[in-house]
Amino acid sequence: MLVVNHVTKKYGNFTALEDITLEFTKGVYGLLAPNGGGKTTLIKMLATLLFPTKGEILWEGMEINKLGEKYREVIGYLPQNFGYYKNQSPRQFLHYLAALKGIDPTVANRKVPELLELVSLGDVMDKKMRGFSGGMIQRVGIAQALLNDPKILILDEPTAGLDPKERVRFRNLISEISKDRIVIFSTHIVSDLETVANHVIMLKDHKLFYNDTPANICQTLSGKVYETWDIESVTQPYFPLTQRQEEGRILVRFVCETPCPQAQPVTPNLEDVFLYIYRDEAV
Amino acid sequence: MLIYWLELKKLLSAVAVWGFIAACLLFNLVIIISNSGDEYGDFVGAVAQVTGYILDQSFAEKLSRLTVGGKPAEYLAQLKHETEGVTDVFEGYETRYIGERYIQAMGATGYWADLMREKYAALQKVVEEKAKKDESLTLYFAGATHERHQLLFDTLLGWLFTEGALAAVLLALLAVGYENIYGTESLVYSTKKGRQVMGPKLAASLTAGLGTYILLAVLAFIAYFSVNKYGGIWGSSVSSFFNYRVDLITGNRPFITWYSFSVLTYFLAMVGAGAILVLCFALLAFGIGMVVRNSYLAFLVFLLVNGVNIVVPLQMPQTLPIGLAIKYLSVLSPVGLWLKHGIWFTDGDVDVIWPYFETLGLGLSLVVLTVFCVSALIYFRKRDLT
Repeated sequence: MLVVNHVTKKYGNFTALEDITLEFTKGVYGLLAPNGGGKTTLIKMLATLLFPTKGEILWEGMEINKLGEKYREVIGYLPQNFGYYKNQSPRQFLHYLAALKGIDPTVANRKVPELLELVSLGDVMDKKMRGFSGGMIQRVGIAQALLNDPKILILDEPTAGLDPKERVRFRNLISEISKDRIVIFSTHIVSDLETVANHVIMLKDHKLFYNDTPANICQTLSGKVYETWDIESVTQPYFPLTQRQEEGRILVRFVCETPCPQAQPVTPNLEDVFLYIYRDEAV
Repeated sequence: MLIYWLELKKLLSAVAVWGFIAACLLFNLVIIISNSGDEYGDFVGAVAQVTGYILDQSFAEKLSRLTVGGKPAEYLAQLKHETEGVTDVFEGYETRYIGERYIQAMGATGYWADLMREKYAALQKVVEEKAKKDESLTLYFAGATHERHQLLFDTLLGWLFTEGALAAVLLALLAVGYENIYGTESLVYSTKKGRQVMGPKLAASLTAGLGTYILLAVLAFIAYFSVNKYGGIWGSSVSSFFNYRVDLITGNRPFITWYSFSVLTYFLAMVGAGAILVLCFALLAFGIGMVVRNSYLAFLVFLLVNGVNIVVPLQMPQTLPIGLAIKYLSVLSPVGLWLKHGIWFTDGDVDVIWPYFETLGLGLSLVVLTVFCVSALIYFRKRDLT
């Protein structure tokens, strides 16, 4: 079990995260927060790139920075906007990272092409990455994160740069591999989480806001989300979520804290909650 | 070991490194070709293969039996003239005056003046030993000695030290900042090896830096020795009658080394000491790189540190004991030693207070910079990588 225990992270006077307590067991955990909300800070602490100012992070009861390489050998990490060696092929790059992950070269010889096939890069595994698209690079990143068959897979914005087809493939892959490991998955794309996450962690004002199943989180807006073709007839204060144009008319979806008989109540989804919770912040 | 090789491969696959090496090679060729062509020196080297390099009766007899025609005949006559009546420069030579002139020039008093006097008292014993061994009665390059000595040991080796140090610094900064340049820090430092990869990176950069210095030196020496013939003078002493130092404070004086060096052993010692100097600069750059992280900024900090090391001692007033201490101590730093490479293994000059200053300086620099690098490694392991 991975435990984040009353963790605070400060940069000088700025508090990036305040008193965060979380427990991770097997499953997919979606991490949601607006930009600058502290997701990457939390993820970097889980990847041992940053150190908590207060509190501790424990793996199987031991502080992760004390465990050092014993902890790092169980994690797979896909950073946000990571770089790569442009003059190397994916195979060379993964072999280098396999060496750093302490994987025996004979095992790496088998595993590297296997993973590159898995992420559909089999036919370009020996081509230099200089000419790769963003989506291809992201797939190289996903392959490297899986190299050491990690018990904890930490993915920071993993679907950024992937086209819709690749995103579906990726979500399926996450579902497949999450059975016997912890997957922590930060994203802006709420629909990615809805389909794969067992738990959603939401941060607001640098503090933990929600840590629950998607269904329970959606439940917080139960009876408050409406849709209408005639928003001007709504007299109560409301917060608009989305709008859709159909046959020259606009369907508005909104949150209203009081009953709104002029509109049709609908079942809230995670995106509604996300937009409503972070309504005051730049998302 | 695998990671070490992979890091080394990363460094050696950098095109800029090979471009730098090619530029240095070209520059060295220009230096060698533009300063060579001294036929008399080549002639002396060739003669020494027949006569030997020790200026004794046997040398004079063998020289008198030599017969050559054309231009070499003029060289032979010149050589006979130069080697006739050569005396032992160390016989009755007093070193005390050198120390006193330096003390006066620096305005040194008390402890520092005593140290300077002690150094020249120790050098007096060395001079007496050299006199006993007739070290100065060796040929070297006769009348061409000073120019040839300066060309190899001051100009060419000076540039090789500079190029080797620059290459080693660039390689060290490339190694330490590689992940920062390519944006792979988060990937690399979150692996099992994590930040400990800095150990193999350091080893790889030192190997590559040293390897570059050796490569540049070997290629430069192949070019140099193919146009400057040393023939039979390799065993000749560098403290030969014909070798001398130009010193603005004491005037021209014999080239006195603490050890008895032949041209060959002095050459090897200089090349070896140069290798340690290159390592010192590489360690300094690597340590700075770990603290600064951005390689370009780290290079500026490296230049600043060395610039301060040159400028501050010059600006310190000699009237203050601390001013003198800084002047004397700065000589022991890598940049101080680099500036004085032409007088390594000698008594040094006005701001050299300790005997064997190059050995002391290189040893101290190596220890201090190793400690600095280890401290920077420890700091790097505990710092946030934002």
